[in-house]
Amino acid sequence: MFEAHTINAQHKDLIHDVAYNYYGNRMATCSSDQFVKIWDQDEHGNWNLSAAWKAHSGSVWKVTWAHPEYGQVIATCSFDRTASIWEEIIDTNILKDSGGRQWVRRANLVDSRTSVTDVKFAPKTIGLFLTTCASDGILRIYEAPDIMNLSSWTHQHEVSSKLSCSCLTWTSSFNRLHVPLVAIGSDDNNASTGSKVLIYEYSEAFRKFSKIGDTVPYCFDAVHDITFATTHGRSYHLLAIATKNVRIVKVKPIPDNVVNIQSGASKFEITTVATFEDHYCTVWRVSWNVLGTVLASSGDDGCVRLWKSDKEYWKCVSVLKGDGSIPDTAMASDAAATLSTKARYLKLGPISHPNQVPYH
Amino acid sequence: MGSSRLEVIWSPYHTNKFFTWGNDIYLYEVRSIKEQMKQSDINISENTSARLLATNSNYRYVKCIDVYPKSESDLLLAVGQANGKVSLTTFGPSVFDSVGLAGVELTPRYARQCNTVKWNPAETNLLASGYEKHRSDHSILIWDVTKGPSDNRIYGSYSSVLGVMSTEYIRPVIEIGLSDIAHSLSWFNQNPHYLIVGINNKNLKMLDIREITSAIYSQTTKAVYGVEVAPYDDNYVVSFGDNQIAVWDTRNLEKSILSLTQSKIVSKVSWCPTRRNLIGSLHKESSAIHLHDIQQSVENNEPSVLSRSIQPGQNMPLTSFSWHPKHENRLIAVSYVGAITDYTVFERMTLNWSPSTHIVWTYGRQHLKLISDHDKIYSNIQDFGPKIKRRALAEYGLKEELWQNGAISESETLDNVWQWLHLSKTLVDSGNITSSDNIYHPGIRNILHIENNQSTLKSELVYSKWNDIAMTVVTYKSPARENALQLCGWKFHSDSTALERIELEGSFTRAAAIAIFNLKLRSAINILFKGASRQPHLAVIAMALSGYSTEKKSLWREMCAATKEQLSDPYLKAAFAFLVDQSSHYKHVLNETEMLIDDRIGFACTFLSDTDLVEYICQLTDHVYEKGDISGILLTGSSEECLPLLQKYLDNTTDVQTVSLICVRAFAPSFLHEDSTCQSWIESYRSLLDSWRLWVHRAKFDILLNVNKVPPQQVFISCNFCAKNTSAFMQEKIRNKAKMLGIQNNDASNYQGLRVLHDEITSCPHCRKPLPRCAICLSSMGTQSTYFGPESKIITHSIQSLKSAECSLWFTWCQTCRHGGHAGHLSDWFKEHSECPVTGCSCNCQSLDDL
Repeated sequence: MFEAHTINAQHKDLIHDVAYNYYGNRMATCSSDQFVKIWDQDEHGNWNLSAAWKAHSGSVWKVTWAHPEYGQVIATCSFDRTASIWEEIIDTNILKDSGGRQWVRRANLVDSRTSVTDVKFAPKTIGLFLTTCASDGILRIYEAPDIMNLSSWTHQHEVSSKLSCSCLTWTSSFNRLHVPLVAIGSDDNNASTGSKVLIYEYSEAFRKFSKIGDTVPYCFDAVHDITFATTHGRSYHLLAIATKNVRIVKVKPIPDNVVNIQSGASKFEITTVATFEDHYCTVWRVSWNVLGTVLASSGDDGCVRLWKSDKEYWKCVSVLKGDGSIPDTAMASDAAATLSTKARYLKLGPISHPNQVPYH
Repeated sequence: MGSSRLEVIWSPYHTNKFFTWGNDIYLYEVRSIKEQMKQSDINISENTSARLLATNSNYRYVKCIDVYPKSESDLLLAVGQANGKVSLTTFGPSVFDSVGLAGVELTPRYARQCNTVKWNPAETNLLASGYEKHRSDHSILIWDVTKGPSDNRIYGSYSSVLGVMSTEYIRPVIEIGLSDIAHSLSWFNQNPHYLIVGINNKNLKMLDIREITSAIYSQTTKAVYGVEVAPYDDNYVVSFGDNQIAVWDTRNLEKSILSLTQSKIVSKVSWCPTRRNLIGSLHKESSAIHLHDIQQSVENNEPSVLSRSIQPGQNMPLTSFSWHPKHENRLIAVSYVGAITDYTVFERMTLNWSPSTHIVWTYGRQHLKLISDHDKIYSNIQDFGPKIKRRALAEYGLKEELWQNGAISESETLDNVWQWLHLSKTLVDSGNITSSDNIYHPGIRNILHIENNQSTLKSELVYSKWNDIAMTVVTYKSPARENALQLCGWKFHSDSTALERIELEGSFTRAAAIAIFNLKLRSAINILFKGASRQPHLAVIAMALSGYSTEKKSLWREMCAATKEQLSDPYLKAAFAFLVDQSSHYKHVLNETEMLIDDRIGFACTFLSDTDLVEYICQLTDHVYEKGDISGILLTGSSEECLPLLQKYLDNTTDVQTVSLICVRAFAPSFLHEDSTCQSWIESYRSLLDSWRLWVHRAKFDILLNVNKVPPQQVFISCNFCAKNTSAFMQEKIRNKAKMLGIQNNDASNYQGLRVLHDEITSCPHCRKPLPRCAICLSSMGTQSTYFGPESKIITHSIQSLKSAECSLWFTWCQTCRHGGHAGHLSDWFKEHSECPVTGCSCNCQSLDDL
């Protein structure tokens, strides 16, 4: 029987996020125990802990890597209302056996008044930008004007969505005709507040964010995770949404021959291409493969499911249980046998005693 | 008869036993489903079943149960009943029989419902019970079960009052709360003298049993039910009332630290014993258990709560649940109809997918689970990524000859595309087809000069004779059509080698059909006979073919027209359709979409009139655009018209690799570097190669990309003293030498030879000051290098260093401190040092730019 490889992360509390670097050979984990850990893959494919430190004074929600062009840099965000930028440096004062490497906090972004729920670097093509979103509904965009100096970040933009934000994602496209988009998801439970996925476009020429007019259809439930697939030359973006189901939305920019260049507003065609209820319950995270052809999702049913499209038609290609085993489909599913069906092999007869008579 | 409402509780010291009670008390054992099953076992989860061990139906109107907390093997239950009696009972004979605990009954003075019963977790002889109101009795009684009647028999003096015969009677050691109602109570774990009780529907009281006259704390609240002290921390207490769940800090009971308003009436709350700060709650008539994860706040404001709900079992209202005392996040739930579900609450799993095809997710709190493309499960999903990577590693698209790339792709369609690119290249190179400036690989549309669905095509109508039968067919000929046929690979008139090649590939029916389309019936029959050795049914087809007659209204034609629909092979179908066709539109041949597009176009170019041909080609173009069929590149060639086709193909397949490689190999550089779409594909593919760390392949790709546009020199050396450009001087020198030798100065192949020719310079050509020295060997840059033999220290035994040995004499320097030397010397130095070899320089050269 197949078993997945296991790493004992030894976090003292729930792990909230795992992030790979650009090459997939380093991994960062963060947890409610307020620690961040860095794992490096050796040449045999084994993962070894290379650093662990207390990064925040609250649960660390998310961790993300910057493009290696900017150095070995990660960003974290936490319940303690801050987001931090960490860089790995060489310190000769540290013992040689750790490689003399050490992670130092380069910046602490303290603008949020509430828990910072997600942090992401913008695609490399538009520069060194960091975006955070918080439960007060504000999307904040920071820029490092000097990429050699990671301790100086200017607070460039602030976009208020009026909904408690839980996650954010950038499109990644090399096409100069594609405007960079940032999508945010909200974990607001109130269906009357409208769509829980909002998409903003970033106009580089005007250096401003504007909400795109078209909304993501039928997304009124709390959204827990949201991810754009890497575009890889396709003419459209694929957005995966983890809500009470898995949803895949296609965001297709309409070539703007007619669009007013002055306003900088582009047109988009947004269609839901797939909705899956297979998790039966809340879907927690979604993640694309490198090409954006297969989607992985995890849900409260404790399973990882993989989804793949076959000519526009998406279907489940694999299910893995949380422990890495493949569920036995032949397993009898009816756990609901009733009490009446069981036999009793030891039964103590009722004792008729006067003082056992009920009082009333 | 009592309450049918089922309750459930895990045994505190058996990991596999639990019991439920409603009318009777049932003891179950949890077994793995793999063990021997009995008919009576009930499945309670995917891999566990419950076996009923014992039933106790001694007691009616059971209101509450608590399990004796100190035991190794047997269960001792305290059963609180509706008549106020608390009975200690066991399942069958047990160790408690000998100490006289089993069967002990604790009766309050006035009979009324017992609401709660709890053993003291530390002083296990103490048992607290809470009752409904009676005006002349206390509501909280604490019993010492060891001071049983066996040593101190007191015959009930109240028995006459109650009118009930009582034989033996234990008096409570402590009585608290005269004429109160006790709804719920809980002992503290670390401090066994403390007790917290919910009383009179309005108060939560914390008591010390050594000092019972006054409460330590008392707080007015509606949340008086289900009081429970957190199992690991005495400071936290949870309770509920109506639709409120309240969490209290016992150090300051004045205000609940947390108040959670639920949508429905709460029926049970319980701390998870295996995880800090997690509370499970159950609503009335709800099939879900709500979990509240309390997040400690940094500062002193209200902590926040992450709530989620889980649904154990089917969609049935639950009556109760119980956390497993030891197993992480495991609970058992019981529904109204009595269905029991063993459920493990999954911790929220986070997952990620790396560019190097690893999927990682969290399992529980401790573990990360990983699968990668080396695992079988991964291959099942047929991820396209590893395939692209495999192709990239095999230098797909980088092979010098275009046709070589096709084989690497392991895809028939792509193979055909590369073959066609090769074909058109050879045709252009040999001058058979003229190409315009910007189109290296002209397509059919270019050849036939189709623009805006119009063409200036002028063809000559020719009555072509069949090779073997006396009959003619209308065909059309023109130089443009001739070229188009060549592009389709349909140049069979002179030689039959092309047909033989198709035969060799095993497609006998295709070869036969093409032979027929070229009016060679006999060779078609021969081909089919040859094929019959492998596919026997082809012999029958060949026989049928040989019956072909020229007669327009023969039986043969009639029957063939009827039966050809039953053929599955597209080529045979098309061949027969052609033979029986009466009109000259050949719809059945041309609409046979399973035929290769080359053959369809070849056919159209032979038999269709000019207008029909143009219309057909335009139709076909629209079709391949719509389908994103990459073999349609035959129509468009490497012109701008190809872009929508490639885009559609990319949209369908995400094969950014093939698309960008076709761009680079087939498109004119002037066009390639202008078009932003092409550039975005190329950038995407480059970043993909980068993220897989296939830098060598990316570099090779870059070389192809910039084959006509060599990037400018990146580094210049200028003299330290006079600041004049040293490298410019050297290049000038080379150029002069080259002129002398009469060689074109930018001819790359001779460049290498020239390096040997020029004299090395060791000092600045302008000011004659020495050039920088190697920090290790102190020889100046530009000094003739001495040969380092295999014995030399610099070359170690590993193959890797042998490979790099050639570069070891190159001059290199740190980008930060600008100190440097021979690469070999420096790498040896940095094996043992991390600081720069130059005296007084503390630059950590090695650690910078290290991947």
